[in-house]
Amino acid sequence: MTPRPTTPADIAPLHLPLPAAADTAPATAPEPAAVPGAAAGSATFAELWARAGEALADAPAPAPPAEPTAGPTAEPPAEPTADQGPDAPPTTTVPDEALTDGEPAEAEAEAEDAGADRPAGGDGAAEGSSGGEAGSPGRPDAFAELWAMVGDAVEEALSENRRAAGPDAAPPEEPGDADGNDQESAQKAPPTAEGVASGESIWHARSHAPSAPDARADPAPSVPDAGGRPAADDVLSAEAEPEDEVEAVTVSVPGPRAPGGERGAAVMAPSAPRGKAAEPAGGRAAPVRDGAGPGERAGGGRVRRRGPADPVRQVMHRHQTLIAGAVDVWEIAAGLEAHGVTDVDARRLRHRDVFGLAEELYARVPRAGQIAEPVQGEREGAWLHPPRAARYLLPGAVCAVAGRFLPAEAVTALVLVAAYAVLRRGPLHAPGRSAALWVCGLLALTSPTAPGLAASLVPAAYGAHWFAVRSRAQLAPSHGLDDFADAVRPRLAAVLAGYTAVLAALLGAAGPVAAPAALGLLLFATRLLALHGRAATAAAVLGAACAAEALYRLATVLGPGGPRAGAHALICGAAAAVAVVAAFRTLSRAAAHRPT
Amino acid sequence: MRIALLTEGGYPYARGEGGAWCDRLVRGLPHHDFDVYALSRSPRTEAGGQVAPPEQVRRVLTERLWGDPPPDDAGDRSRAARRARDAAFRWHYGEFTAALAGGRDAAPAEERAERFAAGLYGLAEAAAEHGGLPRLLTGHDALLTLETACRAPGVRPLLGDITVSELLTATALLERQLRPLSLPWYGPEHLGSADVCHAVSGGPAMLPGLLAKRFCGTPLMVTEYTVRLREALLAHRAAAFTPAVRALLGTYHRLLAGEGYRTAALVTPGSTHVRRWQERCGAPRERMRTVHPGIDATRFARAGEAAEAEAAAPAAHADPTVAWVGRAEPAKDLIALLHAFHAIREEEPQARLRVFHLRSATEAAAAYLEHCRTLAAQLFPDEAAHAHAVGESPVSFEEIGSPGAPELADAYAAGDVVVLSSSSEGFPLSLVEAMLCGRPTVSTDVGAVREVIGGTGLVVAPRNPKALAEATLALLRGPERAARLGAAARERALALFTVTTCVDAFRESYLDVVAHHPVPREPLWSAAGAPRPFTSPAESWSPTRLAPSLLTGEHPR
Repeated sequence: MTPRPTTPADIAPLHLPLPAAADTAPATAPEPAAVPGAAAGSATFAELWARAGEALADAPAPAPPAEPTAGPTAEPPAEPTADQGPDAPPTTTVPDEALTDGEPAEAEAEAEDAGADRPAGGDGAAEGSSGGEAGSPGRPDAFAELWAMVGDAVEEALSENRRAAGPDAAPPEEPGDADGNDQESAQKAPPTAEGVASGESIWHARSHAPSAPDARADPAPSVPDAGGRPAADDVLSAEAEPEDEVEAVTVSVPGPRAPGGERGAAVMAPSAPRGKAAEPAGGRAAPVRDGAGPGERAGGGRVRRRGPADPVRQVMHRHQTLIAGAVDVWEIAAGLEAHGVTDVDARRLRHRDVFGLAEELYARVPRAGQIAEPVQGEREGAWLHPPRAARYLLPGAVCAVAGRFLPAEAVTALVLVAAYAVLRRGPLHAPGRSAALWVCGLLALTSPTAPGLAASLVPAAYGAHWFAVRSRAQLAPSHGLDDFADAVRPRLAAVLAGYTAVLAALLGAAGPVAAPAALGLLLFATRLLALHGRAATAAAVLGAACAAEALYRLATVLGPGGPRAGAHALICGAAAAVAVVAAFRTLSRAAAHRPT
Repeated sequence: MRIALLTEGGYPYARGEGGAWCDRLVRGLPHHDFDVYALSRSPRTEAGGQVAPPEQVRRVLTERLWGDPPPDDAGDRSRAARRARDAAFRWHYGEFTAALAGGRDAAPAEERAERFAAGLYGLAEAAAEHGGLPRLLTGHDALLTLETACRAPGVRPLLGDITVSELLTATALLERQLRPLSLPWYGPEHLGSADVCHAVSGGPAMLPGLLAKRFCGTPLMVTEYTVRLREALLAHRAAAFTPAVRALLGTYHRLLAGEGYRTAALVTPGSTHVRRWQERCGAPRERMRTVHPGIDATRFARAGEAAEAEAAAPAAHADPTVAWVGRAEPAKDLIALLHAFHAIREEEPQARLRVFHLRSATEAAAAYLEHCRTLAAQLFPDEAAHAHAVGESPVSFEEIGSPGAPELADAYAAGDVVVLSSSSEGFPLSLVEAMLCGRPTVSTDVGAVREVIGGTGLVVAPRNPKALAEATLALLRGPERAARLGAAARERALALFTVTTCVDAFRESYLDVVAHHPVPREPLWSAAGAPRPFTSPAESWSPTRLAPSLLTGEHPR
């Protein structure tokens, strides 16, 4: 039993007149006989027939079970559309509440059809037709008027129909039609579970006959591959008498063309001249056209097959990128609403609202590319440009030149001034005043005279820049904070060792190496700490070293012994060790390497 | 009554969205005192400057939700204090991120919401007690906590594979969103002095209100005209964040919205369209009340009255005109309108279409307008009355402000029928303006259109030019019906969508909230925290000042 429709539109009875029994009786008489004689698909046709009977039996209006046999009677198209009586202007598919001013004409049925992304419910055909089936018999005058409207619509549709294009032409282009999903509908060759497959018209074969008039003129069942449709043809032709243009216009040519009759008879469109090529609907196979999604608006009794049996698939396809890239249901719902999908559309797809539809889409569409690939950006140059590094030669030059003429303290002062000027920008620039003050104090206390120390600003700049760039490059490929730390530590060790080696080489020639080297390492390590956001730590270490130096000075001045040789080296070395340990602990954290 | 307006990228900023109705609200309630606490969303918001607030607005406090974190005012803290602070932060942030990431122990929705609330309020208390929250939020502890939460059992694999750079991005964005936690607004002289906090949009604007409710007991009222959560989700997608970051941020916004709706004393959505999202996020129905936005009807008074006069003797014009007014954007689907007009012209050769557009704000919008002009030129060649007349196209694109339509009201009055052909829309203010001008409307069923129209206009399905054409033709050919619809629309708009209606609704809401949720402070509540009933009479909540101002000697109003 096909599920009942849920929206008011679906169950609004179709008060369309059926031709008088007399008209249809002879037409339908041969029909049952023809059924067994149908070609391969006829077994399913009988099934369709039975189903149509059931559906009709449950239709709200008191329609006799024989109704479906009335040929191309006014049956609503597959969609759950609210079809009004024939006296009303063309039927509408928008549910009643959408109709304002009580005018059904306003909410055009075509709206539903045109929207390829609002396909009718999969088994809408059954419900729609069952709802609409209940044509009230015995209003032949209204029916003739209906047929007149139908004819107009069909005429219009014919002008665009691709009848001339032959059996394999693409679906006709009709104004207002959304993208045709006919190809998709074409794929549903065999009757689907609902039994009504993609609504290829039972007159489908006829449309590919040499010319429609010929087919029309030939009521005999000898349509080439319409094995099981003779009766249908008869019926159609009989009914079509008053109509000039009832054409078996198939909307689309399905790829796998199932034997005729198997595709349920396209539901006869109800009154509405849909203005689209509609396939003549076999009144019998009422539930038929379901799968045909939205497009099927039967203009003049022809249902157009537009759309797959599963209308949600159209929505999936249309919003493929949105859904595949979404991370959860809420994003999909937001995106759908931004694209104009409303609750009305969702209800047509058998969901309560857009959120339900979003849940189904989320479940059905496979996620694409959820794991972000590390973007291989341009590799930042890890080596400083020589022009940029040239400025760091200044303090060394000042030291070397002034060291000849001036005493140590003056040289230190000059070097400090030069260093301050040079360090205001560039890879060694770190905010934080306190660290700089402590550096000044320390240098004043220790008064190093080796020009190698001042010249070591250059390798310091290179080292700091290289370390920063290489560490940032490790952010993307790392899979975790521990991974990152493991990647950064060797680089930090390399930088510190490299700087110490270069410094030792620069100092090697002139004078003692240990004290200036330790001092240099201390300054470099604290500079690295300050560069990566740990200025407080750097300031603390430098302050401690300063204090130790000052104490030592005091001790040498006040105390008994003179200045010892390795004292400076010891103090600076200890401080440098502390700084290096702090650097290893904090600089291997990701928080220190935020990309700015 | 003292009302604290909480805005985010809105009212005091000239470029803020939704600032206009806030201004109308504030000006419509001159007897109350307003404090505006504004959060700015981007440098663009602040670059536009601020509008001059009326005198009811006592003060305006601002804060940025972008840019670098504020400098750390790290005073000298003892080692023990620092340890305590770090431990508290780790605990509360752990709860917070566990709720964001989901997982086995945070799977049920209520539990997740509770953990989120616990984490959020815990962070706020820690910020109030110790300070230094922004630095902690971007530090190593935060990264470690977030990583642990994402790698917890039961968390979806998308978050389980989060990389280090995504962790950094997520923590930076969360720190920005949690900036209001560190503000000094939650004391008795700021938000504690207000009688009600009114958050004029959902999302981050609710956060100060939540904290005020927690710390000071001030009741919170939330108004939403556009769904802030939806905007945030779309903005994250547009900003091309990686999926893991989007998942975390989206969850944050959603949980914050849910917490805000649950804590609020009253939630006022602007339309049913917004209401659905709020209910989905967990807003309780018994505390919701729909208040439609109101616009100024005096601008359209002349046009509306002229329409009413015409309605007495409706007659079809020789050249029936269809008007479209708005901002030309792809969402407005002008192309469908042009196709519909093409169909209309086949039936009614004398019809004209006038497209009144505002100046395009973005490049994309300008390009779309050009595209529409080209399409119109292709579809509608110039026509002339006879062989010696200068022809013109039946479709004309005019900018509002040009001599053809110097005012919005003129634009609406120029058409016999006003059409809205959008494929997606929020609250259609242009429809309301058309209704106020007494014009019959044909619109597409998107957003809150059906609710606004309510039967006084024709509604068709979107992206259906044929239906649009048929509906418009029906109105163009039936002047009596069109006049009836127009008159009905004007009455409906005057009844529902005017500023006075909106402001009155808010005034009642304020009184309602304040009466049911008084702030526990002296003299209503004793110092021990016990309420003292009958301390202050009902007149104390009256909006008028009963005593003359001593300084100016004015009479009580």
